[in-house]
Amino acid sequence: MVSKGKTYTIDVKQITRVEGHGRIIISTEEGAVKEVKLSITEANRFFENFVKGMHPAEVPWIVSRICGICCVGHQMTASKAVEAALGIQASPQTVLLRKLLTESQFMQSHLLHVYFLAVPDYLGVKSVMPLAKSHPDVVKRALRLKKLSNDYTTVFGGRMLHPMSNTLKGWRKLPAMEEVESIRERMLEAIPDMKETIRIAKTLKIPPYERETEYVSLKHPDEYAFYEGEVYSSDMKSTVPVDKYREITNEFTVAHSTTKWSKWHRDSYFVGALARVNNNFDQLLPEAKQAAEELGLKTPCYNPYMNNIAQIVEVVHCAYNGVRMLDKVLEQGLKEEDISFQMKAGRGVGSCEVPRGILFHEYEFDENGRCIDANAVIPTSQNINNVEQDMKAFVPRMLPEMSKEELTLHMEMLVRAYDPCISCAVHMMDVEFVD
Amino acid sequence: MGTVFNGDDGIGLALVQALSEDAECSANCVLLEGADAAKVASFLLEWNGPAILVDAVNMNVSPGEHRFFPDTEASMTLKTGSVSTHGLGLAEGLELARGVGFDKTVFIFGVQPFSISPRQGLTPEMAACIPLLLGALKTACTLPLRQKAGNQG
Repeated sequence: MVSKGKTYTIDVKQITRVEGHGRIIISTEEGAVKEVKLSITEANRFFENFVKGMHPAEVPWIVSRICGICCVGHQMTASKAVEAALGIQASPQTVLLRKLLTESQFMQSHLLHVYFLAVPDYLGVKSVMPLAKSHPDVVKRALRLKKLSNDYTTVFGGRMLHPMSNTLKGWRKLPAMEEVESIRERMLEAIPDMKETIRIAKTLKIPPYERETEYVSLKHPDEYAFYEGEVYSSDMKSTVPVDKYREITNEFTVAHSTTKWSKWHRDSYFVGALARVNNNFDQLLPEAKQAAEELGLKTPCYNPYMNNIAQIVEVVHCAYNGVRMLDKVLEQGLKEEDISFQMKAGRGVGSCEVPRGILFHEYEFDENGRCIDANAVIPTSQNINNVEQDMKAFVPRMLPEMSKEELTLHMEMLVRAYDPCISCAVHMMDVEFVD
Repeated sequence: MGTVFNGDDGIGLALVQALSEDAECSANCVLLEGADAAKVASFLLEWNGPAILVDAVNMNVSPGEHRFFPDTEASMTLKTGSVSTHGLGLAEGLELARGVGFDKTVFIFGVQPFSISPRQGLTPEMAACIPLLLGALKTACTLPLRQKAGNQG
């Protein structure tokens, strides 16, 4: 395919298989790229105002409603931020339970994204629905693994979505040990499904486009960082405390997006699975490193399409690490802990990795313990700028060798590879009766 | 099925909860709160038997009215290509389950909502319909599913 003379406009008004509403606009004239834009058209959510005036313990539960996929991550990050503001120390048992809850959500979210949203692109179908007939074993496996992940979250969070067991300082209702034992057994039984997931992923033809950028994630000296750590930049090769997050995210607005954009040392930066794997590869468990090798993921990796592969590597890590943490719970047992705390004025920042990247929350409380200020910087608002920079870099390279339809698909796949979570949508079934 | 945080989208949960508390009811009642398509499909595959799914359904009839029908008699609008997984619900979950071989009879007890918008609990209008709807649901549960479906599954 030759690009000479190509003049057209691509306008994908609603990018499918992402969480929320985004639009891709590309125009070319006589083979030259005139415009590339990723437009975000989602309305503001106003959660930072919802929580003003609220009691500290209410805040993590309320903000978990920001997202139905990352509800655990928002709750964990808010818990840490509120605890920092009030000078509360979570117990080692609480930290362990939060890590289990966090990793259960990573499994659920990554499996959902890879199987239900990304894989259809690689198998040449519009959605997961046709796969049910053409590849029933793949869909059954996806459903099994997703159910396992949801049940894993339910054991530690009390329910699948918007968990209520975790609160400031500790746990309101501890999981029953027989449930912990059961989920551990099921995690072990799921290992063949994990291996089959890797085998399928090996067959996916990942587009070979690379652009080096800055990779930002949490980093912890003792573990692959999901729940705690400082902010690491691949450009700096060092970390910054999380309470400096405003100097990291440097949020700004652009006319074609309702979400804020971010940049740090370059025009844009990348957060998410690929950034974490690039920055913390050495701390992955051996099974996850083996999966990365089998899947051809060598770090540093500059191909954003490989984010889907990095997600699978993290699923493997979370599965094996989950068994290790579950063993620890079974070995040491769980005990009721004091979760009372004193109100006081203060401001605090919390940060966790969530499936789509690093998340920051900040809250301030007055002397009566009422929330007076809140701020959340989510991974997608940090990534959107980088996605558009990728598009600007890749379109001129793709244009000579692709048809308009192929280019459109590759742009949509690129956005989907980042697994953006633009917002949540309400749904209701529509039925038309057959006469 | 449904959620209690979107007004009348919680009617399925309210009816099945009420049914489960009815001493005369012998149906196995399961609440699928906030279930996405994957959860619906997983549930049906694990259930592996005939089922009545109770949910808010847009059928273009008057709010508060219900319809009871086998899934095979209705053309359900699948939102496969235009929305995220957040938009995939009962219809898509059923389609997924059917696609991978779930062949049992499924009936839908659909209720036309008054309002689906963020609020905790049903609208007062829908809450007032519950006694009537519950009676209809109990009647629907009375006949064996096989008989209702003409021995189709």
